[in-house]
Amino acid sequence: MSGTDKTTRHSGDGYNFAYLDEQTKRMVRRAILKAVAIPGYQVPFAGREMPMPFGWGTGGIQLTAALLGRDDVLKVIDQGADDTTNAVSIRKFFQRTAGVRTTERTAEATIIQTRHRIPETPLREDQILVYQVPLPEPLRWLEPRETESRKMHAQEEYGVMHVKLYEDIARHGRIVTSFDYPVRVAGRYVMSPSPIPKFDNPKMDDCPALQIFGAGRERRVYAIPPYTEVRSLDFEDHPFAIQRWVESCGLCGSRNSYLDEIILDDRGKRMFVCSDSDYCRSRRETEDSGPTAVVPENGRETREVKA
Amino acid sequence: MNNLAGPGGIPAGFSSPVHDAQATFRVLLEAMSRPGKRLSVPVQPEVFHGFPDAALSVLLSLADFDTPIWLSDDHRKAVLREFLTFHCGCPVVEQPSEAVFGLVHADINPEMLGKFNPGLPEYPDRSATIVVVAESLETGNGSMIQGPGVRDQAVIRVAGTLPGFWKYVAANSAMFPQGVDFIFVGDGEMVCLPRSVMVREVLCT
Repeated sequence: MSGTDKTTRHSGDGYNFAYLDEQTKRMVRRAILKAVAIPGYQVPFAGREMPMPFGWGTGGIQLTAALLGRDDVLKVIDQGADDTTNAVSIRKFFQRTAGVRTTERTAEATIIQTRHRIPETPLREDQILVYQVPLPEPLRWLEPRETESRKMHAQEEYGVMHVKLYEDIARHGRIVTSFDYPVRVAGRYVMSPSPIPKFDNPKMDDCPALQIFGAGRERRVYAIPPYTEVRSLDFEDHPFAIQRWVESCGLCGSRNSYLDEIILDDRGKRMFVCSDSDYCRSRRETEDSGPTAVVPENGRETREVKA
Repeated sequence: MNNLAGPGGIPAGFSSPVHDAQATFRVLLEAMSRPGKRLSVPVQPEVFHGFPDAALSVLLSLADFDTPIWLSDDHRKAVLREFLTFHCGCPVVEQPSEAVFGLVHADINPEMLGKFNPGLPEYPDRSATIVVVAESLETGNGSMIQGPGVRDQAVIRVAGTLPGFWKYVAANSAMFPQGVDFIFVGDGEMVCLPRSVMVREVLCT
C-alpha cells in the first residue's frame, strides 16, 4: 500500500504521449479554455472514440489526456475509492500511455479524475479536479430537445428547474433529489454537477482548485473556475441541505464524511464506512482512532435494521 | 542559434512540440482560470528579432487548420505569416469577424476589437480569442477586475493600451455570456482576461 505507485511502463512506442494525438489535444484544450471563460456553459467538443466504452469516463479521460504533463501526479477515484474497477483501469491507462506518476493520496495529486465524488480533503490552488459526466444537460429530463434547452440557457429561463424541485416538495414534503443536484454557477448558468451526492455540492462553492467536467458520449466540456460562487438551487422556505448520518464511519469513526452502507450478513447487519477511501485511511493512520477503530463498537457503527 | 534556420528561412517552432505545447497550455489554463494573475511563459520559440515570441508560444500550442487567424497591421509581415502557416497550418484571414484567433498589438485601435466574433447567444463558445502583444504587463493603462477566478479583486495593466481599449473590455464583459477573451503577453509573461470578469474600474496612468 505505497502512496505513490512506481511508474511501470512509459509511452513512446506506438502512442503519442497520453494517447491522444496533438490535433485532438489542441481542440480539447481550446474547448477547455472557452469553458473556463464561460463558467457553467457546456462547450461542445469533437469527442473521440476512446479504447473503452462510453460510460466509463471517456469524457474525463480526454480532458485528463489534454491536461497531463510529465511532471503531473494523477489520482483517479470512482465513488470516492481508488481501488474500484473504473479507477484502476483509468489509472493504468495513463501509466501506460503517459508514464506519469500516480497516487492514491489526495494531497499528493496535481490532477484528480473523479467519478461521482469530491474528495473530503479540501483541494488546493495547484490541483485540478476532472469530473466524468454521463448527462451534462440539467434540463434534459424537462426538455428533451437540444435546440430548446439551448435557448433556455441562452435566455436564462430556468423556472422549469424550480418547478421540478417544487414537485418534490409537493409530493414528499421536501426536496428528495439527492444526487446530480442542479447548481447555478456565478449567478448565470444552471449546471449539472455530475452525479455527485448533494453532500458534495457545498465543496464546489469558492473552491481554490479549478474544476472541469467532461461528458464523452454527449461531447461536452464545462468548467467552474477557482473561487467561483456555486449555489445549489432551493427555496427560501425549503433551503438546500446536505445528507446527514446518525452513524459514524465504522473504520475511522469520522462523523463528517460521506458514508456508504455495507451489508455484513444476511440477517440485516450493516456497517457504514467512508466513501472516500484515502480520507478514511489517512485518518486511521494519523488519528487516535487507529486500528482499534477497525473493530466497530457495539451499537454505534453497526446496527440491526428491522425488516 | 542554428535552429533559427528552418526550411526556407522559417524559424523553428517548439523544440519538443508535444511537451512544450502541454507546458504552455497548462500555464494558459492557470492564467485563464485566475484572471489578473501574471505567469511566465514557460517555453518560447527562438525566432527573429521583432517576432512576438511569447505570443507565438500561445499560438503554437492552440492554433491549427481549424482556427483562422487575423493579424493586425504591425504583424502582417510575410515572415510571420509563413511561420504560422508552416507551424500551425492556420489560415490567415482578412476580416477579424472570420477569425478564431487575433494577433494584435496593445496599441490597437479599440474599434477594431469590436469587429471580432463574440459568439451567438446559444453558442457563446464560438467566439474569438485575442492575443495582445505588449512591451510589459506591469505598467500602463489597465483595470481593476472582479469575478469568477478572482479572489476579492485583481489589477491588470498592459503597457501601450489606449484608455478606449479598457472601455471596450468593460463593454465586452457586459455582453456576457457572449464576448471575446483576451490573452495578454509581454516581457515573457502572460495574463488572461476572459469575458466572465467584471471591470470595476478603468485605471489610466
